[in-house]
Amino acid sequence: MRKVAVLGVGMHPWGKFEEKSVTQMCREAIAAALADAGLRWRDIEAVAAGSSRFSGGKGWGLNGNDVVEDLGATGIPVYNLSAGCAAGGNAFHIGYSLVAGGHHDVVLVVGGEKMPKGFIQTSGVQEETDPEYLRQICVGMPGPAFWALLCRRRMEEYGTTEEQLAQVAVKAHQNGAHNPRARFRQELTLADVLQSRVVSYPPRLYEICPVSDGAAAAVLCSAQVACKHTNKPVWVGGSAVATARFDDGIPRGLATVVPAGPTLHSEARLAVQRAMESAGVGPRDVDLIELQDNTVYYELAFPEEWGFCEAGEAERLVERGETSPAGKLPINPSGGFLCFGEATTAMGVFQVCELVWQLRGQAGARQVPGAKVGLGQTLGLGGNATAVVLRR
Amino acid sequence: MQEALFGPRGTLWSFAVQHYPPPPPVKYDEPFEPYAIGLVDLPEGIRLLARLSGARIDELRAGMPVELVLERLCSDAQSGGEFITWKFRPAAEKENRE
Repeated sequence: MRKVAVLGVGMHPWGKFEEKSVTQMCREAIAAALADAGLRWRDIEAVAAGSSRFSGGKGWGLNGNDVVEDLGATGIPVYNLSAGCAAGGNAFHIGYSLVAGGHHDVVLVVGGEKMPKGFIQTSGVQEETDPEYLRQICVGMPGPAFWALLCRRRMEEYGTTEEQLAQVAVKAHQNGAHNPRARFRQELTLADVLQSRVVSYPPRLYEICPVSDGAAAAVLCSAQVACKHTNKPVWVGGSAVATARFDDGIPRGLATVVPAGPTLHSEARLAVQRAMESAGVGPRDVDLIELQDNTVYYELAFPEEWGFCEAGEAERLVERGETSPAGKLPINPSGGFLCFGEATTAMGVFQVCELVWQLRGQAGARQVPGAKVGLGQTLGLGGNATAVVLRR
Repeated sequence: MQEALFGPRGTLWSFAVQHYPPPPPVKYDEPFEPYAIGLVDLPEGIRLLARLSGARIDELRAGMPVELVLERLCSDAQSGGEFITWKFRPAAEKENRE
């Protein structure tokens, strides 16, 4: 396997952009990534794109083809990757593999999405064989109720308080306030969060991510190409994809097994473990984490599931400010999806952008001091997850 | 593939409260009333998603014994009938074998 560098990154701001197409948003993100890399469109040898469910791609998730048609049909191979909210991370992994495996020297990874208004309708089909559809027809359970189940269990198991949940959102907005590309750039007080309306108890409106329009792009290249353009590249230490295991305690449809131990989000844990293993790093080596905070619960559960802290310890880390950029375990210095909203298929590429800026020391007021190793993680419908370790 | 029979009793692992009228295809009777959704662990080793019934929301606790009931989900405007679904309600104390 060859060494792979992230030579350039670019991001369109996230929010609501009624007047723009997803293709236009991707174009701007790609132009920024190419300029950052010091390359031109003609230098791109292949495209790996997240397949959008909601916008562009001719309704078939052909979003990489949209990009090529828009920027210049040079005949290059295009890979369209579909993995729910993990699609961007999945596209990154394929782009990484194409360079690491010696198939190409320069690959573009891109994710862009324009989301419909309101809470996501998780099932795209109305078929009685579809577990997501059955869940809604038979039990009446939309997406946020799923987060609520997990959150409530944590509260009963560890005594997590409403204030502790809210504190995660307060921290997110302290970071997001310093990010020029964030949708929400206002700091929130604990009272602001606790007074926001309950969506599906326990989570409140400011404790879950809204849907957004957004796009992000990254240019990956071989060591040979990277060293022509920079003397301090950001390297991909490890990249991994995983799916949920049979013994996971979270039902993907109507039922699952009762797990023997505290086995939740096995796909995320497996992806993170694999990426960290191939990077040869442990929790103590990681300077910052960009994790998929669809709701505040994940920011408490994930670090301990991945071995970054003891079970039930995450709340205290948040309270002591240890998950802030200057703390011992900085999480989502970007502001995360609580501040950006989810543009589902762009999220994995978004995380790569933030990690690169952090590792280069370009993150301004949200900078994690001296960051050398960063971890990114996505989680998508269908039991999909990806993880990436970048290092300087 | 083998068929398996499960008993009607289980333990509530966790639950959520649906506070707002959910979007289609979820069906509910007007006016919308908040309802609880639970994950129930059956002693046979299955964790099942189900509507909860027969208890006020503030009486629900993770770990409480529950039992299966078949109940109305909502009316069916097309047929004039009603949709029936599986639900779990708090189990009577003396019948609890957990």
